[in-house]
Amino acid sequence: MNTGTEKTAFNADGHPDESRLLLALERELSLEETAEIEQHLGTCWSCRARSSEMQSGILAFVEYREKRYLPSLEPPPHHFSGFTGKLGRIAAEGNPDGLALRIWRSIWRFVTSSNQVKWVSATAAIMVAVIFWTQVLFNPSTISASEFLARATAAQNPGTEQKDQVSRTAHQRVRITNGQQTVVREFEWTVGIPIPQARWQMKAEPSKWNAPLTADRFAAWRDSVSTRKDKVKRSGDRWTLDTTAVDDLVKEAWLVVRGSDFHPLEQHIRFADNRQLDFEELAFEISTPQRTDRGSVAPARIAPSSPAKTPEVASEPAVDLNETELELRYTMFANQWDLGEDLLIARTPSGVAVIGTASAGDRAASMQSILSGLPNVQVSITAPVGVDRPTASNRSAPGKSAPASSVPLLKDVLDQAFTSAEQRREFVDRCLDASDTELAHAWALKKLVDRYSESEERLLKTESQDKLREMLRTHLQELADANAGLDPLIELLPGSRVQRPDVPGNWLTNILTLFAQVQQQDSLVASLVVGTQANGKDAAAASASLRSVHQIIGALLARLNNLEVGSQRK
Amino acid sequence: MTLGERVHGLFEQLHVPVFRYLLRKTRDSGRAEDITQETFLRLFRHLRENRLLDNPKAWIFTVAKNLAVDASRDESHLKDLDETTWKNVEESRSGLQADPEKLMLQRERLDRLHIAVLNLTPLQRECLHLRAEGLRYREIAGLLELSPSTVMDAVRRATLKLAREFDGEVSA
Repeated sequence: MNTGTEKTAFNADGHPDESRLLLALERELSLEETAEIEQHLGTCWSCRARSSEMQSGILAFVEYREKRYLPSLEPPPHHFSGFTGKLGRIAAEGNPDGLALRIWRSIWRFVTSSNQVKWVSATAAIMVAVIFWTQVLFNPSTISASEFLARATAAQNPGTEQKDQVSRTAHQRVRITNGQQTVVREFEWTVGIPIPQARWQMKAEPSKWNAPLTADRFAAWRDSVSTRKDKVKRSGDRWTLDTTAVDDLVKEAWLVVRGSDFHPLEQHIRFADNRQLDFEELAFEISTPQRTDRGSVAPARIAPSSPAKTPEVASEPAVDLNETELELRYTMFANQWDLGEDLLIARTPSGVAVIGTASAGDRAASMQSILSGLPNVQVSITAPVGVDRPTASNRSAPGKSAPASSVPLLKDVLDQAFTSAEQRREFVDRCLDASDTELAHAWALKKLVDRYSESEERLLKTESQDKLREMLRTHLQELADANAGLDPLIELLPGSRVQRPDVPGNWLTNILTLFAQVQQQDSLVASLVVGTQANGKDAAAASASLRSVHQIIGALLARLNNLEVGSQRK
Repeated sequence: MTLGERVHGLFEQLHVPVFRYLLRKTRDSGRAEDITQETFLRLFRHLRENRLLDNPKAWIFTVAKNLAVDASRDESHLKDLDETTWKNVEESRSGLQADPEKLMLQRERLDRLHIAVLNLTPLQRECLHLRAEGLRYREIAGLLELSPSTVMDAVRRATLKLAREFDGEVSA
């Protein structure tokens, strides 16, 4: 990796930058450079710590890869058994001509096709086995309806005597739908005493339903019915009790529990007038008072009966995952969770998933609560372990991200411009905040344009396209505002002003260029005002670069402002 | 050594890393196996025509990538999480939240490592996997059509991010 332009292993401050340390770790430097860095590491604790940190990251990844990732990989179905034969046939063919090539392609298509046939056959065989397993071996049921409900009630509301009389609270989040309207409601009750607000409201709509999903209440309804018929069945890991009633406002109800512990997961109520309510438990936990402190391992408390989301219409049973994903992104945008968070959004077998570790525990709890209420969205967001991770704006304080020997390139200029250390600190913090904010919006913009090409935008409904453009416009405007926040720093820079450049290009290329320039600007700002790595630049060179980059960003923003978002992406 | 023996030797040496790489790209072991074989067959034809080949490993990965891209051109832009991955994530969450008995140290650590790796950007993950398969930065850069400094930066950021997630608890 040594190039002609990288002749020295050290920066002006006498330390190698992190890239060089990584290359040294990777044995990708010349012997001479490696020896120089090894010698430096022998004397510099700061650089040795950074090098060791990267080594730890490599070790962590290798551990993950060898113990979790590689064992989870599927083996090749045929173990490459046909390769030697294929190679031999090709070798025997001689130099390929057009006919031979066509014959080979026909063989290849045949091989591929026969492989698919085998795959379909295997899938069919597996399905038959599964059906036999679930429908024949496990039916009929082996427990009574009463036992079913007793175990389900105990699973959901165990007695307090089991835990040394410590008062514990159950929290439940339930999605309720009638096929047209969906709401998410949250409930809590003290474990071990009768569950309040549990009576079924026979005429309630989903938005007004105020009873949690409980086996206790199901049992109470069942007991109230004079003529009924029960059917208990098992399918896979689920048990279902289906009770039909005669001469009752509810003509049928069924409760689905988890096979392993009989915890209720779903409830369905069909009324005599054929209206139906479906309940699905989205989250359930039992917490003790000691464990609900902020930042402890217990998840955040859930407010009683507070809807997590306004009701929404779900008229079509078929789910458009493009719309689901856009709604998820828009909800994250509306809550500013698309800024400063590094969460993965991906498709799963049954919807769209958002996965990752949030930057703070309370944000993780809010995300989990609100995003879980979105239809067909699976949320797996964890709180950071231990103390909250430092934000980028903490760069003014010495932290892990900055080398210990930091000296701002603009130290003399800042000392001259500000008479007190307090003023100077405030100025530096303002610059870093502005740059952080700008970078966060640049990331958000880039993720959106990476995800949504013109053709993919057209797959969205009109209102969703409007939401997408609103997100793009807002990020662009807030990025511009943050960029203006750096103008005072630009005024302080030594050197002459430069003409604002002309930036040609279309919407997409301009956004991507903008992202790259904002990244570069962020790095330059940090090196100038707090002294992070400057990639070998001195104050004059870094100042000139920052002035130039800032002007380019200004020109890009002006041009993007003249391009209507979305309609002129060509 | 005949040409066939040379290609077979390269196949023995590289078919596993190429297959793993293709499995990440295609999420289909059958297709990954087919493309792996086709890649080495193309290598044989390429060499038989006396065409230049400075770096067989880089060439093989690049051809494998192009074949995978061709095969998946009509697929959705968004890569799906396979069921195993999602199940692992779900299991890791349930292990962390609902079943304290599962909080055995090694399992918990692997779960957190898994989440931490999922939290890296796709480029960072890809660079780390390719680097772990033995590709140098220039080879990864050529494969991904990026500059070597971009690849190096991705690896650097990823390793630091993982290290900071697991500060002070590198496994013994």
